[in-house]
Amino acid sequence: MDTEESPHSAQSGQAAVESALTLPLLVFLILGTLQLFMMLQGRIMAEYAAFQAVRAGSRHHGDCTPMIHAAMGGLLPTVEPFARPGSGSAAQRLADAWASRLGPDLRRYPMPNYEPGRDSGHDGPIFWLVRESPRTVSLNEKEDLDFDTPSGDGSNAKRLEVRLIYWYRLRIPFADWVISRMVLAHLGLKEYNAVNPLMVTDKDAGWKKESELVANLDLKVRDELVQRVMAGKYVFPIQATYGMRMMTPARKVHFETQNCEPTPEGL
Amino acid sequence: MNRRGQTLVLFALTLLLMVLMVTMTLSIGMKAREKIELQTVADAAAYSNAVATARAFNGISLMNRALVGNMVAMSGVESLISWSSYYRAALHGVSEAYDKPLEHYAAIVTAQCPSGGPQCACATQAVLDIEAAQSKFKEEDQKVQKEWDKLDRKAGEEALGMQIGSVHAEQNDLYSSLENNLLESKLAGSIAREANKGGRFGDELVALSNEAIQSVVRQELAGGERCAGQGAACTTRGNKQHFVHATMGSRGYSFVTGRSGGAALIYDKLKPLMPERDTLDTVTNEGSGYFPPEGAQTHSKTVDATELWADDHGSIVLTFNRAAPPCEPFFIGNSSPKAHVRSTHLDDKSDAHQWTGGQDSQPPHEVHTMGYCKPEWCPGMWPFHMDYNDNNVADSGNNWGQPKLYSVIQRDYGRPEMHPDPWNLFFRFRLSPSSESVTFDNRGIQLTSGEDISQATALSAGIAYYKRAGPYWREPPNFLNPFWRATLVSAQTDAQGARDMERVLRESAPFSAEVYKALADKGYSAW
Repeated sequence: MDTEESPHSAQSGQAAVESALTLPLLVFLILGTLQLFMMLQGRIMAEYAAFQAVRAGSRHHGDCTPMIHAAMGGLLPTVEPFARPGSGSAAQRLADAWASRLGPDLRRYPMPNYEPGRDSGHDGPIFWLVRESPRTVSLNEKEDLDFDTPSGDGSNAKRLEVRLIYWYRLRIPFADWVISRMVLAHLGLKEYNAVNPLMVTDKDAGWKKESELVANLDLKVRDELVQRVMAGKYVFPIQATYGMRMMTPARKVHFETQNCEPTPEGL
Repeated sequence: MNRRGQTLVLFALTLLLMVLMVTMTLSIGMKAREKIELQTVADAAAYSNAVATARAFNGISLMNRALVGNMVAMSGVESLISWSSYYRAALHGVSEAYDKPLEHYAAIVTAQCPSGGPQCACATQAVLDIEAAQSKFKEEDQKVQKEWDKLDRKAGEEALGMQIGSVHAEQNDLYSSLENNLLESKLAGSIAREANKGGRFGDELVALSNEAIQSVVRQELAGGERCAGQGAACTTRGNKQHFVHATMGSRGYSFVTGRSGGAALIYDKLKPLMPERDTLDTVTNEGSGYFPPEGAQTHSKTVDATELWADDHGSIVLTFNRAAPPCEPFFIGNSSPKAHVRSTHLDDKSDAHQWTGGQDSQPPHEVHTMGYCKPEWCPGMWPFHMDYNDNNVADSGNNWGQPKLYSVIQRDYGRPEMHPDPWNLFFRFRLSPSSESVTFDNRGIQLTSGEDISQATALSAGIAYYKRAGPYWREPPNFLNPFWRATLVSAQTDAQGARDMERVLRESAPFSAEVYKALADKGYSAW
């Protein structure tokens, strides 16, 4: 018997249907893999950006401006591939890409926002910079005069501890939407009950919170995530932390808010 | 139609995708890790440089403290010389004080004896008694003289010995070893070597030492002779005034500043020499050891350590009680003895050592001189020492002159030994024979647009800063107190920082300098 030489037309159709049914899943597997690896790369850069932000803050009295400048510099390669050939020197392209994401008054009030024109319609903060330490309330004087003479064995030296929340832009079409809705459902933020994109025959995907144990995201992070995803701007909050001793005295003037604008307070 | 290979092709493509993504992610992770490592090593090196500088400055400051202590002791020795002479002045002063009763009774003798007056006998006896007392004190002075020259010379030598200290040479040794270390980036080098342990090859991380880095070290550190340079540490002082004031203010011992206790000792010494029944009423003594301007026997207006002086003055009051009736039974006499010693530099022969009723039998410029002074420092007797460049202490734009120190650490991805990790992919696609090949290079050597990025470079800035803890933090930086500390700062911590940083980067890593310039122009501030 040699079925391959003379297949029945019915069997041929069966294969086509099978393909059609599994194709979305297959496509998602490939695109999703790509997207997940890119998120992993984004996470690495977020760690690096947190390091640079803390290093800048530690040497600049805890000032948010250089911290945001440094963090933006660290994340830049994942925000815009400036190294591609283009007009001007690579250094120039890098500086342009960097400056274009920090708003009009970056020397005084840098606002790390996505640029709709350059970032496929995304807007809003690229990252949030949360200063876990020092707390504003612990700075009583204009300047922390004893920053270099911690009492005791030195373990209580004033530290700058930072949590960077990178609103990582998902770039891979289809996968961005699917992953975003899966995440929202998993976190119990938004159930998904429309057609299952991975199995079109399934009219009600029924993605919802399945486990009581989910990542404990801050309320404000959840709200921001829901709001952006529902607006079709697919992002994923990547969190990275870093800490270092304050190498310069923390200044009260730099701690009028606990977190670096535009990061909301109370994170 | 054969469909058997379909899955295999799909599988192969998926596998390729997986391999690509895994290697790229590994590559990015390694690059980020290596960049953080590079920066951390640069920070450690910059911090160590700053700590070494702060320690050297503290060493220099402590030696200056020792020098100040030495000079205080010198004013003490000089004070003792003057005060000892004051004892001789006092011996003479007692004689002088007796002159008043002597004149009184001698006048009676003159008036009454020719006419055989009633007081002739008692007055004549009183005159004889007084002259006997006076000659007793003169004898005592001669007795002292026998020992005097030997001891006085020794005391003079001791004062001189305090001036010829080795402080300056020690300070210069300390400073030049620091400068040498920083110029050659030795400390940074040893930290890089530590970081290289267990690495792929010996000198993966290199601490740079080039012309630009060295010129920043010189500019920040080298204050030169007499503070002619702009750096923090002057190899010889520009101005000694603050040191002289510190010394004058440190003469805490009240004997040196006011001869407290000096009078009582002299009183006790004179008392047994007094003839019985006469009373030594009071002996007072004031005086000081100090560093006045040339020839000034006072420090009340100004001090500048051209010379070393000590002087003593005071009063003696005694009562002659031995006149027999009908003469007035007692008569009070007083005097004001003085003494001083003056020590000038070797070529100035106007040294002096004198006291009421006497002076050195040896030439004072042999016994009480100070040492040689270099022509450009003359006249003066203040020893050499290093000092903080006080031309800078008012310059907030230059961090009040406190030195910032750069460290530059480099990892050269382009070196042949630097075998790329297996995940650093490099492909060359020849898509058509005619067109140029398309390359994918993930090794971190070249950007797609051709820029050489092989020199991964990290720059870090440390600073040695002066901070006296507590409410004294406004105290200007100086080499009188060992309160120097170290920390990391922005590479642009002072007004020259932007220029210095660009110069250093340009010589160390051209592409980094380009990026620096481009970002700086846009307003990047996290250097």
